[in-house]
Amino acid sequence: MVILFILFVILIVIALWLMGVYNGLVQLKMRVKNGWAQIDVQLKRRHDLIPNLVETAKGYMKFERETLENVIKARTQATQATTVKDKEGAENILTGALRSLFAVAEKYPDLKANQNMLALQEELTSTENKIAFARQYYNDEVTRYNTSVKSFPANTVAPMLGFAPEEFFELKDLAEKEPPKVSFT
Amino acid sequence: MPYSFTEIEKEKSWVIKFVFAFLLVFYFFAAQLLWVVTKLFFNDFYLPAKIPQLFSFRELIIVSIVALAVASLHWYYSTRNMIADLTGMLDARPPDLKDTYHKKLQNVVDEVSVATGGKNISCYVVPSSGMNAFAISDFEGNSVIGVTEGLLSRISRSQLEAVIGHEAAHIASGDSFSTTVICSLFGIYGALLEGINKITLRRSGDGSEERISVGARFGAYLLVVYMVLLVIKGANYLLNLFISRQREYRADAVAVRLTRDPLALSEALYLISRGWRGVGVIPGSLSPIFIMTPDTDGLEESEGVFSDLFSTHPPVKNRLKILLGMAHSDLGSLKSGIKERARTPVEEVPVAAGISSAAPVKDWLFYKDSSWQGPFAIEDLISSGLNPASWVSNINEGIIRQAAESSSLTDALKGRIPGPTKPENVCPKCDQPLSEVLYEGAPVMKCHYCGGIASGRDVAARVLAREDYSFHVETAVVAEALMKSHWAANPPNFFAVTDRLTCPVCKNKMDRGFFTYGLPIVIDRCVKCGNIWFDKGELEILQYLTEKNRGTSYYKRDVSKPLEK
Ligand SMILES: [Zn+2]
Ligand SMILES: [Zn+2]
Repeated sequence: MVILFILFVILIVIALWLMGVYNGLVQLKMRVKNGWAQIDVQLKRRHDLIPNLVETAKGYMKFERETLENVIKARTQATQATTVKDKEGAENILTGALRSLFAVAEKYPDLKANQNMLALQEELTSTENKIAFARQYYNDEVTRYNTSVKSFPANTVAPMLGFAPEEFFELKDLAEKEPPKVSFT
Repeated sequence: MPYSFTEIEKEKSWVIKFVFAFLLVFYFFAAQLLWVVTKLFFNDFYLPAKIPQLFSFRELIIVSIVALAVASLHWYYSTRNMIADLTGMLDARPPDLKDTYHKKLQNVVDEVSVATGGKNISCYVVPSSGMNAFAISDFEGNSVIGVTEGLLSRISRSQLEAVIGHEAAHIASGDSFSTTVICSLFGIYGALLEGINKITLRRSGDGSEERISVGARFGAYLLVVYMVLLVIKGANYLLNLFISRQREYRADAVAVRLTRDPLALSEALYLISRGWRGVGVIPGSLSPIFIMTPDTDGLEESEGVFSDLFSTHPPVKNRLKILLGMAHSDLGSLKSGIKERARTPVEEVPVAAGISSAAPVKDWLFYKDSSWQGPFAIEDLISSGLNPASWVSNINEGIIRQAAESSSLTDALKGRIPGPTKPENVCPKCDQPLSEVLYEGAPVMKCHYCGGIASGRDVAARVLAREDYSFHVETAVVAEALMKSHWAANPPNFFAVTDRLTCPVCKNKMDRGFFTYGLPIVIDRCVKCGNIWFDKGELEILQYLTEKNRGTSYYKRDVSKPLEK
């Protein structure tokens, strides 16, 4: 009888603990999801800007058909990617294509002075910054979530409850800034 | 971001409790003092022999209740609409998204909002040519980052990112909430006090009889108000003890972590510290919300226990030292690294044709290389080598003609692609439709026939704060001659104007007058909607003269020669 009672108490304690772990992980996972939603919004904005960019550039860059087509192709592929890893790959290819577009655009001073182009470039810069910040935020949340999934004692039950580690999202910067010369010492 | 949501909420409620307790204690002592003084005063007259009983338990209770009531009232009325009150005082306005400078600010603020995980941060612009930025937050978690027009026009995008990052750090850490509460409670009264000081000083300097009699009438009243405000200002000083200078260093560090660019922040701080930081008539008592104190006083720049206690901002040279250390740079290379901003010639450009929504309309076919090509938008036609003799056809019309026969193509060929026009906005001089163009980034309406420009009052102020245009040589000559002849000649009689112009916006009759007394350019102004009409070249002359008054480096060279590219 006493043993039964003790078993019962232990079961209840375990159930309570499981509930706590579950709720904690659900909350952390929600934050990861929110972080990803932010990235998704900005990626979509990036894809929306590109057709206009290519249209504007077309009038000036008649002999750069290949460069422009590469951007369009990369954009189409990026819009079709679904998983985090697929998106990462597709977006990095798109970044590469955009980089060569801007490198070529340097040769066309008229294009660089075009008001539409300037406005589009400002929008693209802003979107790139937002993507970078959203990515930073997302990766921070993933780190926090993954740490709790993998650390003891939650790691003993997390897989059973359906919590797997999430993937990081890494993306090259469009503007190839010099490596930041920062030290916090 | 270093702080979690719950931590910030905890700190917020701590700030509220602390400040309210401070207010309560402050009013308790003030009321007690007042009560004792009153008692002594009356006792002296009527009961000279008896030493008055100064403290009694019952009176203490009454004084406490009075203090509680006054503190509650003060708290309630000061913190009801903190953001609206403060932005109103600073005359800050939401950005005009057609304006390229304002759009850039909105973008940068949106970016840091993403960096903070989607905090609700709006941005405001203060129409002042001084250089400063501020951050405020209220109880509900709404936050505002404000930037002056002068700062917006004189720093680069990366420097702006750094400044906004600094302000966002204050918002994320909850610093801006406590400073907002303190400024709402005391800063506004401090501002009033400084205003009275200025008025009375001006009065005594003026010395006219009428003023003195007015002064005498208000004198007694003013004295009482003055005393009250002085006491509140004292309380403000006491509370500033708790606004640590450390928070500025912390915000600088967070901004660097966000932008990964310590050099941009040090450049921005250096430029702000060198320039005039004034924000309209706003006094030093609101300084805690700004990135750098609007008033330059010795206290901020000095070190030691006293200034550490009473000053809300650390000396700029200490902030620069830390930032430059992160960037492995030093003050010398910072100074030499700051290039003068490149100027572009004065040129109106069409408003950009919609960024993501409306692509340019493509309805022109172009006969080129022995074949019909297209359809193209007008801009594309020009860039693919249209000339007046080229054969073109508009899809909507279906007729083949030469480019010179189409008025819109002729305009485009002459380099004046008109911006969007509204039929109701016509030139007050020649009745031609005005088209919306960007003049130094600001949306104005231009007549392509006479070259005149119609601009809102605050839009003109924006243009005058900006320094990105290099002016025509003639502008300098005309402006100098105008200033010389103005002081020699009799002022024109503006009451005798017979050919009053019609406002292109609200159709009211406009008044002729000088732009300001310091800038005696004759312009037409609508009293109803504030719109201003500049004849061809007048806005440029005004820009030239305001910049000259500000003493920008542009004028340290021979202005009669064009700027070298
Ligand atoms: Zn006209
Ligand atoms: Zn009007």
